[in-house]
Amino acid sequence: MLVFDHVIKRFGANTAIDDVSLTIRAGVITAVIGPNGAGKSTLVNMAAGSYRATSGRILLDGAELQTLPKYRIARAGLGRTYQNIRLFDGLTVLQNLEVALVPQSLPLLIAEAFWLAPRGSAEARETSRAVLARLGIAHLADRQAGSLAYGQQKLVELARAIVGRPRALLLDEPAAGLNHGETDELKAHIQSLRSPELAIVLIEHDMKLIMSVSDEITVMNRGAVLAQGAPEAIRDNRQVQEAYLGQPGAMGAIETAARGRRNRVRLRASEGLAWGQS
Amino acid sequence: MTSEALTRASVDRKSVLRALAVMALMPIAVLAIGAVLPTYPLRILDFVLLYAMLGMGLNIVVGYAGLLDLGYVAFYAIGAYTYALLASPQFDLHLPFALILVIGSSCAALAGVLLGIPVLRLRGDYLAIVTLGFGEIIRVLMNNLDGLTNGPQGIARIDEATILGWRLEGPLDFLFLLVGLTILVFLFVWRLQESAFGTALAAVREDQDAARGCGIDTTGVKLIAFATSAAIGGLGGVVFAAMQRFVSPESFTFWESLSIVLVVVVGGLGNPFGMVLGAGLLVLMPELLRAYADYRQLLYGIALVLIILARPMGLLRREYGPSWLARKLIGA
Amino acid sequence: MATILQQIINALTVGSIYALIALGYTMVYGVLRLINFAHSEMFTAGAFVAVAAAGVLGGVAGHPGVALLAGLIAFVAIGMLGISVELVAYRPLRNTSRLAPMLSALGMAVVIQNVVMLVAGRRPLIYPSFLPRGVIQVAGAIVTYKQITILVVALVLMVGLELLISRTSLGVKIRAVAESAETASLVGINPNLPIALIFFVGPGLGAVAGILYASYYGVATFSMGFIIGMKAFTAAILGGIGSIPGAVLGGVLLGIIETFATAWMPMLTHGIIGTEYRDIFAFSVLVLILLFRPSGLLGEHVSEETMVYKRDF
Repeated sequence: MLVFDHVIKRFGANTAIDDVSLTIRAGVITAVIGPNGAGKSTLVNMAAGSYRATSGRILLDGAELQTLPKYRIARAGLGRTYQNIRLFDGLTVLQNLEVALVPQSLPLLIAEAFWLAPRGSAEARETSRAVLARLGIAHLADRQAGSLAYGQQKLVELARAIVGRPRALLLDEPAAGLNHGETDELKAHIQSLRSPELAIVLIEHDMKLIMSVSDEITVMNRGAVLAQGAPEAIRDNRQVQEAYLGQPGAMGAIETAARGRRNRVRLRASEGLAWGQS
Repeated sequence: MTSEALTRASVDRKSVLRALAVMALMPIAVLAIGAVLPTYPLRILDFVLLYAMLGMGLNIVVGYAGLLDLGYVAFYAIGAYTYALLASPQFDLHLPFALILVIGSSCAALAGVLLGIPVLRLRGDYLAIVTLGFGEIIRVLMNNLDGLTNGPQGIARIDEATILGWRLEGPLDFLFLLVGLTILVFLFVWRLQESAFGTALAAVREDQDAARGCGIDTTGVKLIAFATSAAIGGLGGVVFAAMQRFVSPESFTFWESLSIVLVVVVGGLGNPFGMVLGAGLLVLMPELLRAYADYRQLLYGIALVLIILARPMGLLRREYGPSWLARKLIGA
Repeated sequence: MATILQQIINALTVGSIYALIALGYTMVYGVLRLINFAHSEMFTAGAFVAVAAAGVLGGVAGHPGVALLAGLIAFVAIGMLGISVELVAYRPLRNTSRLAPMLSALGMAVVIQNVVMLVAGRRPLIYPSFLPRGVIQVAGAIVTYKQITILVVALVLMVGLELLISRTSLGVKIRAVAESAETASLVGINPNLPIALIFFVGPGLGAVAGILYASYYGVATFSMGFIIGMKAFTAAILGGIGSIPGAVLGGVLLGIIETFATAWMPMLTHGIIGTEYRDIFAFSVLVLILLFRPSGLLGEHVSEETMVYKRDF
């Protein structure tokens, strides 16, 4: 269970997240939607440790995430995919997954290097292959990640996010740039991920996908939660419709509009995390 | 990848033995050549191996971790001065060579950790400058702490190295030592690359932030890389001091750091074979250019720029390293 | 009191020279995120080109016109050198890695330094003074015309640069490219022109600094660039690399730190740390800033995200 408890995030004078309290339950797929700038990615980035909240808590199964450095948050069981794909391009697909399974303690890491610790690498490889097979991309295991097609890379990133058996999974626009066939495939995979031990957060603009895959939808606007509930309730919610385009019946228009716009280059500072840092 | 191949039941014993035999050919060839070379070229061969070793050490940081360390000479100097201080008339201490190999590399590793802790969270370009500064600071300290290091005069009459009764007197003796050490370092570095640690290091190199998102303690990993790299630098320093039997701050300038960086970058980032190639080029070129004395550095600079422009990642590609060779030899 | 004033003048003089060189580093870094190691050699080359030009023009003694003209020639010549270096050694490597352009820059530094050495010889050159002689007394301190000229020249150049950056359209383009090359190109700005300009002005300023330095100390060597370059780079970092006012502030501050530390250290430590440590002050300042405040005094606003990243220990 991932809990946001009265989270506020300000960037200077701009309040990006305005007192958001949200509970993402395990066993269900929770979608977070909203117009651009609503704060969806900011929320997710804060959970992952890229920013610190100005105030408020973020808890994963009761453990406070805000005090942890990013890598410990990942180890605590938070997996994520990125809006702009961030694979290890120079490594093979298999190696990309193995990264997530590297022994966690430094002494263990050193010991393994000198054959003083059990050969975890073999198990890591087996686990990785299994996950790849589950997503139907086992045949790509030895291909260089950077050489894959966009859709395949998205799947590899998903594989990498789940190979460590996370307890919360943050999917940041996983369908961005995918065609209909690929989106359907993705939908199937996401649905197959439902498990009582996993809380899934799905940020998306593709309304069809959202409607068909989510168990619960949270709508955000201007840094605050606008509405929460089952997909049908959200769809018919007037406030939500107005927020999206200022008029009822807007959801259909959003769907059509969302399909065409695929930006791989993010230029805004608040989302600039995805690239340019080193 | 190689260990996977080796553990698969289908690999037959004969091809593994054959592979090992082929691999052993290189060092044996080197020793054979060394046995018949006259003194001067033999010393050059010694230095090629020394720089190959240093290159492999720096490669851990530059080639595997993807960080730019411009002050590697500091660790080299620490190793050399450790031997000079512990086995010379300076303090009238005469510890055995083998022991100092351990002490020297440990001191260097410690220095690596101490330097790394504050410095490794800086961005790439800043890291380069700080390490450069660190290298210079060590040199200036060596130059000015007269009481300890004898300042610019250096420390002379350093003890001859002895290992269990075997006195290392001439270049041929050192050739044996260096071949042995280089093989050890090579195997160490190869194993590092193949291990889970190597995977973590590669992730750090590719995308630090994403690596963190996968649970990798990037700072810890970088620290270990720094420390092991420094240890190897220190090791080389001890050998250097034993070979020359004289150390002075003049041997440890930024130019030296740059030379070792060149060994790595020109030879081939991330490829231990590349280090040997790079060291060969680095040491042999000045000898070949001897006729052009004054123009040597200029030609160096031009060569550096040309090679970087042509092959920014070095002459030998990363993929064609020991694992690739091993796979080829096994026929897997 | 007089001594302090004296030291301040000394500090400002040396600081202005650092500032002029630092500007070159900071501009290139701001736009390309590249540490231009070759910049220190522009400094050296400028001094030598100027003295050669002056020689051709009939000597510099007592001829302010010649000095000015030689200075101008050096500025332009080194500016052209800067543009060529960027074209040949950096541009092809723009998208490879962070490492490659830096090594190429190092290579170019070696090349330029050696060319200067081969042409001008290894031995230090007695440098004719491009600066007027004479002294005046100000409140008990002796101020030489050399120092005043250096301060004035530096000031004029810096103001000129500031006007260029803030008032001209080219300056706007430079700032745009410095913010984000990708966005700039989306808006139709060809980054190559602003970049070429930076590689003209930066080295040019460095060349002038070289002339001033050599005139001030009366001697020039082919290898003088390395240490001075290091210090100027420290100044750029101190002020916040990427920030033009930062480079100026950093240069002046470093001059002050260095001058006063060298003057007082022996006294403070009873001779343990003497003046020969002068050079490490700069290095130490460098290491300290990079550890505790890498963004420098006026540096690029280290945003929240980067803050968290850095604290991620």
